[in-house]
Amino acid sequence: MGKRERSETANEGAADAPQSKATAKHPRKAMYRARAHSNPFNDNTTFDVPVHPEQVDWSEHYPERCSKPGEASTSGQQQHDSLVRFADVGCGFGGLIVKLAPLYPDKLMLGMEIRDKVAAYVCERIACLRREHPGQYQNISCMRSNAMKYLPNYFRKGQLEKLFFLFPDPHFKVANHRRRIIQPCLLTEYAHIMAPGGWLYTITDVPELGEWILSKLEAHPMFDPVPEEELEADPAAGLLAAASEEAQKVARNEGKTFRAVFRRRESPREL
Amino acid sequence: MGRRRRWKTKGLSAPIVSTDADPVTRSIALHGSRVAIAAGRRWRVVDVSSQAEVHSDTTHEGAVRGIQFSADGQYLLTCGDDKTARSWKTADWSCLRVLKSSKKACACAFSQDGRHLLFADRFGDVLVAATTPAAAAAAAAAAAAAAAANTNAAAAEAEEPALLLGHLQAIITSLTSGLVSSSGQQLLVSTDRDGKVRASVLPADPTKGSYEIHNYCLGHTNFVTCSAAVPAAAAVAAGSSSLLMTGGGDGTVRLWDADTGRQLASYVASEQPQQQEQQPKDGQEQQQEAAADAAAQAAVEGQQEVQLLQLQQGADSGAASLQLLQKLAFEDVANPAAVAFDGEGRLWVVGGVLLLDTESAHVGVAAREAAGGGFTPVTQQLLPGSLCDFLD
Repeated sequence: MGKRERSETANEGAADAPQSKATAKHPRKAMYRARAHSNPFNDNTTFDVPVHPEQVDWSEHYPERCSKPGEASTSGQQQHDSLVRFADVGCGFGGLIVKLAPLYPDKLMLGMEIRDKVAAYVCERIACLRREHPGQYQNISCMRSNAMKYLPNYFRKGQLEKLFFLFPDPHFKVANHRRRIIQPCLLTEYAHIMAPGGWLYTITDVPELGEWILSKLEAHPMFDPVPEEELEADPAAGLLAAASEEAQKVARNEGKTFRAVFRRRESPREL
Repeated sequence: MGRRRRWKTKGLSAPIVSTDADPVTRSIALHGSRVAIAAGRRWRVVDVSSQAEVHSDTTHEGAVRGIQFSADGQYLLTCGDDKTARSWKTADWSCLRVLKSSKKACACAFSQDGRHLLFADRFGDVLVAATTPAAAAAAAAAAAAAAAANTNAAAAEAEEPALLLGHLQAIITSLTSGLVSSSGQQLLVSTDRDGKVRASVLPADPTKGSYEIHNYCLGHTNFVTCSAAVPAAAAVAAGSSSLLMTGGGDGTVRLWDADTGRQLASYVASEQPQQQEQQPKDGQEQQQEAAADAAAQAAVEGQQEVQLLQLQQGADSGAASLQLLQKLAFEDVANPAAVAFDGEGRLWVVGGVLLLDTESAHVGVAAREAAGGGFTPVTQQLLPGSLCDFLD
């Protein structure tokens, strides 16, 4: 992505200032370097967390789709569903949501990333895409937040239809297993913010983590596995192994991936 | 030279004696004529009708952080800094069960039917176990029989205590059971230091885990310290199946409809800026005569007076509000830390000096002269001096 944009926009860069602003360069990852890991249990007072989902001003993320809280929505906004329906937890550099945006143009999607610089990169990238393709990519945005702790602050009960966890941090040490993003306590929270029938997608290239994720999801009474036939027909499932930057890296290194997609039940299974 | 790694022994580390920097905690629980008071490592039970101290206990090797009676008064639950929760039989004060957690236990409660005890540790895990050894053995036998019958079952040994639910990495500050959703499910309310108040569905057999969140009550802008259920009659009068009150570090006492998660009313107990720690605690009372006349009390850390609040129904729209009824100071009780109401509508408070490692506690009682009137301290009339002032 980086190389193609650089050569493409090098010519525009030579033009005078007003013109280069209109076709601004896509952000370069080199400018947004960050460590791969971030401790989710750090005290997160450096960014504001809303107290309640009603308090979030989604019009900052989706200006053409959402109105400010308290303001009446314009006619253009009213046609669309103004609640976020897809969330990519740990969206990294935004590969998945950028590919998903044109596939589900009516659904609002949010990428959540805990690393400050990486979230800023994704926001810049989306802004550039919106400029280059007017009318498109209005349904995606990125937010810097800690999904392990604050998902219920952003999403109402039963709001999300799809929840993505692509290549989560494996946290190999046994003492750190409680930092894994897929674990029984958190699955209960994910079930709370997902609508019945919603799908939870996970993929990883670490075999032990793949087994862990599968066992935790199978054990949780609010989730059922999605059968293979339905997975093949689902466009989002097909993107898991190819869309995000991490997926592309795994493919380059010819690694194997382990996918687990589960559906949120209406009510818990009998145990 | 690399850092030397300290190899921890497998299993739980040794219990901690209370020499840590946490200030002394005092808590109080009531049932019938019995008052249980915990201060530091020691907890005592005083019987008001017989005017005697019936039990005094220092079995806990660390400060006792939570003390609760079961709804029928047959059992008592304590939990503390020694990373254990213990259930006691109130008939003879024998210790029924000792359950261990991996971090200090900071909140505890019984399930509404008293058959299970719940306690939370500082990892944010809520753990559950059967209250009596007999029930635990029965459950283990049933599980073993089920496992033997079903060859597919994973080797599910009754690992005690079992994990009920978790607030990930957030210290849980209180547990309240007894609330019921509009569909009749038992709810457990857990509050934490991230400001979250969560009502989870408590299944009939909690040892299998709770996997369904009923609702969050979000609104506190700082940590939440305490929660209490509004008695059923007052809740129904307010048009809800379950009302909940919580208090927290933002200085507010809030009233919630636990069924929908909606905040119904809020009262600012303390205007101090949020950098300072404030810990309102409250209890609920029900006047048997007038169901609409429900009051709550809040003790704010740093204030010497207990604030009494009235739950009032709005005239026509039914909007509830919390109004200050009275500010009550108890002469002998400095720094009121915990409050509770007893079955006869009297208000109990426990407090004392704020020293580390102290086991002293001072108790105060107040009662209303007439229904709807104000409260006045009646400590001296109710208990002799030796039973309200416990000094080291």
